[in-house]
Amino acid sequence: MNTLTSIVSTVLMLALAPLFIGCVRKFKAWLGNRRGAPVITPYRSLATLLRKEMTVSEHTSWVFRAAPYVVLSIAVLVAIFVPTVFASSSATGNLFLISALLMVGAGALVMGGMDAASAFGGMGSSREMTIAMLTEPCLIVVIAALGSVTGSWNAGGVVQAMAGAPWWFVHPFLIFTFAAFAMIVLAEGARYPVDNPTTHLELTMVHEAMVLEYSGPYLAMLEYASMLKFAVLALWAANLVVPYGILGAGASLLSGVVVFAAKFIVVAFLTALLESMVAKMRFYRLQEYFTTAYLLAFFGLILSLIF
Amino acid sequence: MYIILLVFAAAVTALLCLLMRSYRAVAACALAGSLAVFVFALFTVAVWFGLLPGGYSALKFDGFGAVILTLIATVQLFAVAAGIPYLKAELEEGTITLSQVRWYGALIPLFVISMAVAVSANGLGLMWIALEATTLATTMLVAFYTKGGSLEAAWKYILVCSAGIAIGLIGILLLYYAVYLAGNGADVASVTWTGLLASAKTLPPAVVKLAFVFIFIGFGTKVGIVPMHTWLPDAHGRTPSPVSGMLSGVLLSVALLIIYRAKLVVDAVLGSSAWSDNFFIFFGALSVVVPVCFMIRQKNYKRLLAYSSIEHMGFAVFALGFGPAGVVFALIQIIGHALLKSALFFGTGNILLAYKSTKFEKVSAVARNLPRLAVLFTLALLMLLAVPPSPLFFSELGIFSLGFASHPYVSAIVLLALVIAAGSFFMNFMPMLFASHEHAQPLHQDKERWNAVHTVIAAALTLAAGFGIALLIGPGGQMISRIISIN
Amino acid sequence: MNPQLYRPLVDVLAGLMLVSGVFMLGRVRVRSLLRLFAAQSFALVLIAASGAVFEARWHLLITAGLVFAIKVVFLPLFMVTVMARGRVGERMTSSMRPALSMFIALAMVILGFYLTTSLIPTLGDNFFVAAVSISLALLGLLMLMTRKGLYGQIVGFLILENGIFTLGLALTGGMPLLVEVGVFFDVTIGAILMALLTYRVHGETRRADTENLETLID
Repeated sequence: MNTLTSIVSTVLMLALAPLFIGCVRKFKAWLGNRRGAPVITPYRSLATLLRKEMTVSEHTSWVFRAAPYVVLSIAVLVAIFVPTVFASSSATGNLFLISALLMVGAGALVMGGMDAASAFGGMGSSREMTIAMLTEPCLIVVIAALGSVTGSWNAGGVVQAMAGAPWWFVHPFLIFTFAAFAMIVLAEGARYPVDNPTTHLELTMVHEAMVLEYSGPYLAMLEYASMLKFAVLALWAANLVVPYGILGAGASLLSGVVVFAAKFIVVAFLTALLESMVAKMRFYRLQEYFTTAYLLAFFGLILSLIF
Repeated sequence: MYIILLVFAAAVTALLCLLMRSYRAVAACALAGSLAVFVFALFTVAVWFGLLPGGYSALKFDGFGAVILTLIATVQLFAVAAGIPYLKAELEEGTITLSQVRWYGALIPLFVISMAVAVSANGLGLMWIALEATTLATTMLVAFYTKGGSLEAAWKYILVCSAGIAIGLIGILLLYYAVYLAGNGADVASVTWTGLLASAKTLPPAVVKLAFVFIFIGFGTKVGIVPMHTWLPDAHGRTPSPVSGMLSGVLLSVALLIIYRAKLVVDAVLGSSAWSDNFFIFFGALSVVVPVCFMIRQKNYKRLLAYSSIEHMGFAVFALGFGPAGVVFALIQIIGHALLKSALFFGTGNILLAYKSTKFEKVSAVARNLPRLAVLFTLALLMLLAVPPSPLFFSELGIFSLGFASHPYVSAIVLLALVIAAGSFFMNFMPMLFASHEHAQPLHQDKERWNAVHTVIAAALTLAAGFGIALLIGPGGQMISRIISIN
Repeated sequence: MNPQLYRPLVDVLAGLMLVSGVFMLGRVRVRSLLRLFAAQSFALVLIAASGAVFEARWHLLITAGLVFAIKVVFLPLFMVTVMARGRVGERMTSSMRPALSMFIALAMVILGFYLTTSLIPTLGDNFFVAAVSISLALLGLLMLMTRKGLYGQIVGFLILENGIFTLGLALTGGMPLLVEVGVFFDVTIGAILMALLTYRVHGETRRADTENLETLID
């Protein structure tokens, strides 16, 4: 039963990730007084990319061709481990494993970006590496706080523990941890204010610069992996903050589906709201952003160790 | 009801001053208002001491507060009188405009109202509001000359003092909380000084102790206790001289009175004064020693007087750490300091008008150019340095006799600092008064005429000397200890 | 309403106030600083309002209304207006690098929690709000001391006030209404005076920071 639910929920997440991004874009358009593209546009653009011919530079090696597969498979693995629809406490979802997987994904993408030896790829890779290096310690500290509060080092276990005793009753200081976590999710998902997902301006792009050399199905894989990663992490954060209606953590099937849909919409809306309020930060000010995140995470950890 | 009349009279004065069309009218209005305030304050104090019938439970009854209210009334009268020739001269020179004079005339009564309310309010909330209002009313007086230095002083003043008083508010909130914890929920609506003293035994000591720490740090900013004193020399050095006199003479004492009342509460809760005494002795000694370092090589005579105010208030804080006898001497110290230091500040106004500078190097031969002022100034200076019959002589003698008995090392350091302070006064002021330099002569050589400033300084000297003599021949000391014991 | 929800609601709102305080430390543009300040004050409004609704202390509604009118709407707008009229530059410097001030902020917050734990054993449920608000007051004090820009210092003062107000709500459920109104009046006048002084300083020196306000030292 658990295995089946796990598979079904992962497939659901895989199917819905582009819709999530489409919703974010739609809401953002609404907030900016525009009509916006239909929410299914990401599916269409992925399909278009899949149909297109692939151009691969003759200066590339096997690394360039391997990178999309690695990145995509890691995104799928994260989607399996992270509790979005369903929380399972099996040993596979170790928190540190998830954090390490995210880092491996970033590393593979960086390798792919550099392999074509174009100026943009190198620039994007160097930026991505800086961001990844700053994100990693914050994520570890957040994980440590969550683990020490709930006593579980498993992503599903943490969510189950949260559902048993909501944090705002027993551990109000986790608000600092969650604030830091939200900042990390935005950085990992290459969203505002760390990265601009829609830009092709050389001064500001990070993720887009790395995938600039890719085209056709490879580009589709990388884009899809990026969407999937952001959607999964954002919904994970939502499940931690509002630990209700999660299958496997005390919710019936019906309420699980309804609450999941609500979270899906609300998180997309909040992302859009945030993106239409803040401006992208200058790259050299990102260290302040991550200092803030680290500080909040660290503060949450200290309090979780004391109380 | 006299205190209400006082507030009313001052408010009417403030309004009228804004409406007047000529300098004479503003001056007459301000003087009349300040006389009325003086009279009503004396009546209020007389009621407090039971000399007149009447009484009101909304006010705080204690002898210390009554003395401070009398001082406020006296010094504000002096300051308004001394301000009349001073502002007239500045108006004629074109340094200020008539509209600035009107605002000056309006802000002084507001300042007086806020001080009087802060002293006599029994409710802690009202007291806090009034104390913050003193900062707000005087900020515009500090920024009076709207030049770079004045603006800087005003900025530091409002920021540092507002932040300090805000921290004091944390202390007051904690006192509210202590009353709330003590259980009688209805009392939370009105936390008063008298109520706190009456229910002291039921209050939780930990909360009251923390509250006292916040109140001491917060309102200590306003007293000018040392780590929080940074605003004081700037503000006192940059305001018009009559206002400097009021700031230094009475505003600091008002804040010290509040801290003293908080000490009474925490002592009653703890059952002994040993815990709070240490605060007063440590910070008092620090506030005597540190400003002395800035006095030795001071180039600006108003700033020198301002640092000396920190030192004197520090000495009063030090005195409050020595039990009931210490309180008597602290009060004597405060009275003497308020009268003498404000007189000196009024005197600096005349020097500034004649020499156009507050730097020692630009001022010399005051004794030849302004002979009357020089005599009065020298006398006030000597009395400030505790030459008998100055009341400061008795307070300092008394405090050291207490201090050497219980804390000999600290007292020795404080005594040494006082000696150095006196030395720096002589070193800096004597050349200014009696030596003559070519480059430091007055800008215009009119013959000095006796004016209100001289009268005021003479009156202050007479009061101080009379008080000192009363202490010398006996009844003064008893009187002060009787006053203190009224609660 | 479920009365059990009152405590977590207030805790979370107070926590959000502290988070916004931490964000403000790193801000250099006055407008974004003021926007965050308005958001923080709005959390204070919600705390006061929830106190009124859950605990039936209806006079807190007036407090909430005052906070909303003054701290959320009036003061930010007023400061932006004064700033626009004085043509003050947007960027405000600090005498400390943001990262350093962040770590001092961490120390301040820990100090705030320490003060609360070690000295007030009686707080019970109120512990988190009290600790957070004392920390917030300390953060405001830090900002007031380390900012060079005059508007930054004003906002630091206002953050200090926000922390104290939250503490007041947590400890005593709000002071008597008259006292609260008076305190508000003082704070508002103080902030207005500070903004006007800044305007004058700018007219005098063409800058809105303390670079030209460091002549009075000795």
